[in-house]
Amino acid sequence: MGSASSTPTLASRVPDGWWMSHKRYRYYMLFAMASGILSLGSLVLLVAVSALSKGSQAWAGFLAMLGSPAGLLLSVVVLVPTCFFAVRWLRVGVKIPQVKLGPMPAPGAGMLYVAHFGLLIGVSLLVILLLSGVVA
Amino acid sequence: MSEPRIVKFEVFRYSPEGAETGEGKWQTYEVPCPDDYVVLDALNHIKDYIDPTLSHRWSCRMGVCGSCGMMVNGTPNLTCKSFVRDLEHPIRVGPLANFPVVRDLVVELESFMDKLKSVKPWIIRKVEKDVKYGEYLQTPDELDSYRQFSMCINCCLCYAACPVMINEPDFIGPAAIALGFRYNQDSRDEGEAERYAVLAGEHGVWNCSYANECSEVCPKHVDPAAAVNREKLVSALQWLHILPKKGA
Repeated sequence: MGSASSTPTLASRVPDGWWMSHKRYRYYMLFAMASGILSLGSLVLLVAVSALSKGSQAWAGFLAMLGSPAGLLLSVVVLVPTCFFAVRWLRVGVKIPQVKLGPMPAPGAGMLYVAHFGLLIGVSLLVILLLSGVVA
Repeated sequence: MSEPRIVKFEVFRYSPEGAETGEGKWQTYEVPCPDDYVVLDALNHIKDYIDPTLSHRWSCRMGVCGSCGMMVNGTPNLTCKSFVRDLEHPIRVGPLANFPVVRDLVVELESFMDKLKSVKPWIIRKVEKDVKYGEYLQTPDELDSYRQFSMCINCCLCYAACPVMINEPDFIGPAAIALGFRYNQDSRDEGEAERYAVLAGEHGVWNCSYANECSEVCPKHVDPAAAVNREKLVSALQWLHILPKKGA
């Protein structure tokens, strides 16, 4: 884009290691890298679906794998960046829906914070209760 | 009044001709700085008393014109708002990142001006109302929906901070998108359909990875990241034909 300039210039250059040069950049890169680890969680889900499709024996094997020390370690490795990613995303993402859409008034930031984090915590609790058998 | 203290400045120097050609270099100056000096005062002192060959842009000296944006210790800042006493020494002053350098601390803004024009930052009406019928009225709520985005002073700090601009120089960028969004949100405007191809196009909002850096560095607290990402939501709903485009 843009018209060619006749002014001789020094091209803007990418400083080496720019993403390590500032605290906020490092935080952003951690956020971006967390999404890579999140994909491990999706992989576990795919394995779960695959085991489910192969019958009860495969499913029991999958549950045993999840309960093993390696499985527990994997869960922790996925859980920590997932929480970090979710909190960062919900914190900055709360700005997005504050827009007037057609005749609908723009919702306030406070309400969206409560809705975002309330939904995250509520759904997480529900999943925990369902998996632990407290809620049938 | 206390004696001015001597502060070391490392200033980027580049000239398309003469001794500073090539990749540019950092030149050190020692400047006597009173306690109330901002970085711009120090640059003006260098220009007036130490090295008249130094080139830098400035005008209002009060954070309104947006001319004196530079990298101060690696962060985009208005030099007229950056107090020397608050900064780590030596103070390194460079041209705004992500822009070609014309000379020393002066960057070329032509590409930004083109991007700004591309979003048509003015009120578009399908049919202009005759003056005799009076002004276009607007409620306070309608004004609030875009007001903060109209505070942009085009200082381009957001472009220097944006990590996407490093790899995607054709990205329309935060300030231009914020201004396009500002007019889309204006109840008097009917140009949303005309801006759609640019804002939601190849170099538009979908390039943004929501680093939020533009909003962090904005000296007028405009929050361009909110504008860019709200435009994503609006344009996605328009693409799905859930929301109409004004002026379509």
